[in-house]
Amino acid sequence: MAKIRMVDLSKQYDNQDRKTIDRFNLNIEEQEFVVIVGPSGCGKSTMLRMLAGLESISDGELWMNDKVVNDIPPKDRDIALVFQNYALYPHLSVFDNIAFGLKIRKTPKDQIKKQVEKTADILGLTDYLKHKPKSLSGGQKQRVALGRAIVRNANIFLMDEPLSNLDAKLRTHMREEIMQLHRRLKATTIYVTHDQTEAMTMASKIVILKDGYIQQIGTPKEVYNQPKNIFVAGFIGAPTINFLPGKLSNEEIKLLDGTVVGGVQQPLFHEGDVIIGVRPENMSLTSEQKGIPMSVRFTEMMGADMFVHGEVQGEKWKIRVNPDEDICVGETIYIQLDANKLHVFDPHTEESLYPHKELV
Amino acid sequence: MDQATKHSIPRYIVLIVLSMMMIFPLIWMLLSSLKTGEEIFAIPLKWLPDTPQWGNFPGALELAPFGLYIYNSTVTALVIVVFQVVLACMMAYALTQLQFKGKNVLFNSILMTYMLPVAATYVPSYVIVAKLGLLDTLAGIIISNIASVFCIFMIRQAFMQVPKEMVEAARADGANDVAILWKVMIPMSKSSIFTVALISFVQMYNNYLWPSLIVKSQENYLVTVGLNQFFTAQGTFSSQWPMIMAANVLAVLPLLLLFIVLQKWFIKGISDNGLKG
Amino acid sequence: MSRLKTVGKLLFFIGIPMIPLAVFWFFPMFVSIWLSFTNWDYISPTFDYVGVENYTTTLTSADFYQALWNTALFAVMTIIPTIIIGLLLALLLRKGLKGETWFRAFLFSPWITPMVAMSIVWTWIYEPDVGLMNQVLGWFHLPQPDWLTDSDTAIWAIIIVTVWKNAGWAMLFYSDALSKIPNDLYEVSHLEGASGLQRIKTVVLPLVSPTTLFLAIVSAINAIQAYDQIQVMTQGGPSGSTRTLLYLYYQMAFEQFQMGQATALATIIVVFTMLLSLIMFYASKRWVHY
Repeated sequence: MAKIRMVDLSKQYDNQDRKTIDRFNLNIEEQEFVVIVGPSGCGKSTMLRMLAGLESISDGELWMNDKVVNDIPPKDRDIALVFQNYALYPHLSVFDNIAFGLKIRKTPKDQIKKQVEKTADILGLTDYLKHKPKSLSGGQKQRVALGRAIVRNANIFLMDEPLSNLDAKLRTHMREEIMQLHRRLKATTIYVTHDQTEAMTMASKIVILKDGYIQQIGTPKEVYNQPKNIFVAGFIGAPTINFLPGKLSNEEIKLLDGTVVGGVQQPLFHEGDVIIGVRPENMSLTSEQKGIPMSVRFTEMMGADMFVHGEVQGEKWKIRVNPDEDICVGETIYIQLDANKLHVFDPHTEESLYPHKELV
Repeated sequence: MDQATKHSIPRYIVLIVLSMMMIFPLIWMLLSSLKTGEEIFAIPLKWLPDTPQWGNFPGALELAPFGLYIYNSTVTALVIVVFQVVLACMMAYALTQLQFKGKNVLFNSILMTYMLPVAATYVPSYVIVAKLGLLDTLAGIIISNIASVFCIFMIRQAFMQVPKEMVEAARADGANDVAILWKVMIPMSKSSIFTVALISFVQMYNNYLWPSLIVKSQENYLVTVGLNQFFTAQGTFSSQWPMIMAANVLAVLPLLLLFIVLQKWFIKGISDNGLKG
Repeated sequence: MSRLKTVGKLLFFIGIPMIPLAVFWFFPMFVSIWLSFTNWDYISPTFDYVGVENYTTTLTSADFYQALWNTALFAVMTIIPTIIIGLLLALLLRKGLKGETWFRAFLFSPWITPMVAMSIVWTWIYEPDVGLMNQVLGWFHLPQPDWLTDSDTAIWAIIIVTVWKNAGWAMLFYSDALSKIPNDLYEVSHLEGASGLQRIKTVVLPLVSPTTLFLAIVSAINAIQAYDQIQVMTQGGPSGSTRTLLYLYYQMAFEQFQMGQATALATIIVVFTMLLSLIMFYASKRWVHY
C-alpha cells in the first residue's frame, strides 16, 4: 500500500463558491520526493495544510500508513512541517527551538540534548545553538526550521515553499542540502513550490496543480517531454515553450501558411486546427529558403547559451542559439523546427494530442 | 489557528457573560434613570420600570443646570485638545526632524514627567492660576491643561513613521519647516493624530480633581464636578436617585455617542502606535 | 546667519510648547519640592523654612503608613487583575469571531465613561441592603458585606471598580500585541503537540511581555494617582481604610491647607513612583523579550 493515499480529497471554504481543491487523487510511495507545483492560488498550500491537519478536509479520505487520518490532529499524524517563513520562536535559542517539541512530549533532558546536538551537527548548526533567531541569516533560520522537523523523527516531511524567502544563490545551495537530507533520512517528502526549476531539479514525481485541479502527474522528464496540456507545457521549462497556431491534416503538421513542419507517427483522429508547441532548444538557425522568418527584438546572453527573442507570425518566440552567433536587434533570422520534437494541442480542449502517454 | 477552535460555544458564553458584566453598570444606570426612587431600591431586584419616568430628565435639569455643565465640559475639552495637538505637533516635529544638542535629554525629561503623579504639581499650579487671575474660570482650566505629555509622545511616534524620503523631497522642493510640518508630517499622520485627539478629549472631559479645585461657582462647573456636587447634596435621599441617574446618563451620553460613531478610531490608534521600546 | 535661523527654529518649535510645559509641569514640580521645606499654610503671606521637619513628621505619622499600605495594596490588587483580565479578554476576542466589534465595544465601554459618574452608579451597586452586589450574592447564599461602610471591605470595593474600568484598556493593548504574533507560531506549536494552555505559556506570554511591562507600569502610575472613585465613594474612609497616599495629599493640601507637609508628601509620592517604575523596569530584563 502506498505510504500516503489521497482519495477524492476536496476542500470547500464557506465563503467561496467554488472548491479550492476538487477531488484530488494521488498516491505517494515510501521515500518518494513529490513536488506539488503550480502558480499562486492554485491550492497547493491548502493541499499541504490538509495533509498536515491544519486545514480540515471537506470531502474524501486521506490515508497515511494504512490508516484514515481525516480527523486525527496534526501532532498525532506521523508528519513534520517546514514553514515558508520558518516560524521560529523568536524568544528561544536555536537549541530550544529545536527541542521545543521534545520538551512538550516530556522527553528526558539528556535525550533531548543528544538528539538536538546530533541534528545540529547534521545541519551545521552546532556553533549557533545558543543564538537567537534574530541573529541568524535566512539560510541558517531555514536550517533551524529543518532541524526542528527532523527531530520529530517523523516518516513524512511536508515542506511549504521553504526556499522562497532566500536569495537565488542560497536557494541553489539549500536545494542541494534538502536533497542530501532526504537521501540521508529516507523520509517520504512532499514539497510545495511555485518555482518550476525547484520542481524539476528535486522531484522524483511532480504534481502540477492549477485552480485546485491536478493537471498532470509524472516524472520531471515525462512532464517536460510529454505535457498533457497547454498549461503544463507552458508552465514547465525555462525559457518557456513557443506556441503557434497550425493545422493538422493527413498526419502532417502544417503552419497556417501551409508550410509543413513535421508529421505524426500515429493516426490522431483529429483534423483541422491545432496549436503547435516547440521548445526553444528544439529549433535551429537555417537559410532563408528553408526557414521560417523571425524578427529579432532582443537577445539574452546567458554565457553558455544565447536566447534570441522575437516574433514569428505574430507570436512571441524564443530560440536557443550558440553564443557565438552574431545576431542584431531588428534583423530577421530564419529558423527550422526539429520535426521530432513538436507538440500538438487541441485548440479547444487545450489537451495534448501528440506526443502523449497515459499516466496515473 | 485551527478553524475548529474559533467558533466554540464555551468561548461565546464566557464572552457574553463578561461583556454583560462590563456593560451592566451602564445599562443599570440607563434603566434607573427611568425608574422611581422606590423601584431603584426595591427588594427583590426590579429590572425594568413599570412605566418609564421620562420626567426624571427635566427634573434633573431643574435641580442643577446639567445642560450647562455638559456644555462647559465639552467646550473646555475641545479647546484644550486643539491646543494640545497643535503644541504637541510642534514639539514632535522638533524632536523628530531637527537636530540639536540635548535632544535626548529633553525627550527623556518629558517622558519622565509622564510617569510622575501630576497631583504633585497642583499646589504651585493653583497659585499660578490664581496669580493669573484665572481662578474660577474655564480659561483657567484650559490654560493649565494645554501641555500634554501624552500627545507629544504619541504624535512623535506617528511622525517617526513618516518616511524620510518624503521630507527630503519636500525640502528639495524648497519647503521650509512650517510647510513640511503642515503639508507632509501632519497629513501623513492624520489618523494617528485624530485618535490621539479623541483619547485626550475623553480624558479631559472626564477630568475631575483639578477642575474641582479651580472652579467654585456653579456656572463654571464641569459636568464631573457638577455631578459629584449634586450627588453629595442629594444622594442621601432615595427619592432623588432617579434624578441622579438621569444626570449621569446625560453626562455619559455624549461620550458614548462619540464612541459608538468613532469606535474604530479608538481601536486603531492603539494598534498603529502600539509600543515601541 | 544660519545659526540664528537654527536658534529661531528651536525657539519656535520647542520654545512655544515648552512654555505651558514649563509653567505647569516643570516649574511647579520644583516649587513643590522647595515648598516642602517650609511651613506655608496658603493663607498667611509669610512662612518659615523648617528644614526637613515636614518629612520627618510625615514619615513618622501613622496616617502615612496606613496610606502607604493602602496604596501598595491598591496598586498590586489593581495591576495584577487588570493585566490578567485584559489578556484573557484579548485571547477570547480573537480575529474572525462573530460579533467581534460588539463584544469589543461592550468590553471597552467602561473606560470611556467619567469615573465620577460610574462611581455614583457603583455606590448604588454596593448599597448593603438593596444594592445589586448584595442581592446577587444573596442568590448564591454568599456573605453580604457592608462594602463601602465596612473598613475591611471598602478598599476592595474601590479595587473592583478600578479594575472594571481599566480592563478594557489593557485588553486593547493586548489585542494589538496578539495580532502581531505570526500565525505560523501557533500552528507550529499546535503541530508539536502543545495544548492550548502550553501554547499560552510558551508562545503568547513571552511574545506579549513588552506589552505586559508597559501595562504594569502604566497601571501602577494610574493606581498611585487614583482619586475620583475614592472621593465619590468613600472620601478616604471608613477609618482611613481607603485613604491612599494621593488622597492623603489632597486632604492635607486642600482641606487642611498644610502646604509644607502636603508638598513633602507629594515629593515622597514622586520618589515612590520613580522607584517603583525603576524596579519594574529592571526586574523586567529577565522576563521581557523584545
